[in-house]
Amino acid sequence: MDQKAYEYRMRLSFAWNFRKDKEWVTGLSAQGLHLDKPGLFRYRFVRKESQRYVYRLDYQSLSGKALKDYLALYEDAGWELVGMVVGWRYFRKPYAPGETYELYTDSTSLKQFYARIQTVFLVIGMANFTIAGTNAINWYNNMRESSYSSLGGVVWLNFVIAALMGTGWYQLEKRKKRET
Amino acid sequence: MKELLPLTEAFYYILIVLCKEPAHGYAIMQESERMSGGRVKIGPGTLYTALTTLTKKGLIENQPGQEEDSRRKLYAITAQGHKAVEAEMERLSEMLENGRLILSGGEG
Repeated sequence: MDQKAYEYRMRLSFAWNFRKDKEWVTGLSAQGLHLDKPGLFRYRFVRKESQRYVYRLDYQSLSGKALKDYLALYEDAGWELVGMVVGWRYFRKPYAPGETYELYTDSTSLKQFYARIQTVFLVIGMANFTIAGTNAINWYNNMRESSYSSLGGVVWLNFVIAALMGTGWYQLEKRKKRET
Repeated sequence: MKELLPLTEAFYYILIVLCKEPAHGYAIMQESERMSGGRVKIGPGTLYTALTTLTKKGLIENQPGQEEDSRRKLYAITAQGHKAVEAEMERLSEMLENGRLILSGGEG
C-alpha cells in the first residue's frame, strides 16, 4: 500500500446546495487536493499535485441489481464512485480539456432528478411536522397540569427540521422551474 | 402509442440504436454520439433514467445475457418500441416536409 497523507476540511452544507459542493471539491482538486471520502461535515482529501478531477453528485435510491447496473453504467462512462453520504453519491472523472461532465443532459431527466430529492425533503418534512404538532399538544397539556414539560426542546427541533426540509423543497422547485 | 410522442432526443436515439441490435448502456451512449456526429451526448444520469423509463413503458426490455460480461445489462427493443420509433419518424418527416414546402415557396 502506498503512503497516503490525508488532509481534512470541515464544511457545513445544505442538501439543496449540492451544486456548490461539487464546485468546492472540483476547485480543490484543481489545486491538487482530491476528495477521497465525503462526510456530513468532515471531508477527507488526498494531496497529489499531478492529478486533477472533476466531481459530480447524484441522488438515486437504488439497491441490489439496479444499483449494480447504475454503478456499472457510470463506471463505463468514466465516472469513479468516491463515496456516499445520506443518499448522495460523489463521482469523479479525470479532468481533460473538451470533456463533458454533465450527468443530466436533458430537461426530462433533470426534472426527475430534482423531483427525487424533493420527495425526500417532503417525506422527512411532513414526518417532522406531524411529530412536532403532536408533541406541541402534549407539551401544552403537560404545562397546564404540572407547569413542567421536557418536550419544549423536541418540539422546536422538529419544527426547525420541518422548516429546513420545506426550504429545501422550495429551493429545488425554483431551480426546477428555471432550468427545465 | 400517441401519448408517448414526441420522444425526447435521448429516447429516440436509444430506440434507434437498439433497432440495430441489443446493446449495453455505454454502447448506446457512444453510438448515439457517433451517429449524430458528436452532437448528441447523453450523460449517464440521463441515460440511466431514460433506460428505466423506457423499460417501464415496455418500449425496451432487459435481454437476459448469454453475454460474456454478465455485469452489464443488455437492452433490446420490443415490438412496442419499434412502433413508437416508426410513429415518431412519421411525425418528424411530416414536420420536415411541411417546413421544406414553406421555405421553398410552396403552399403549406
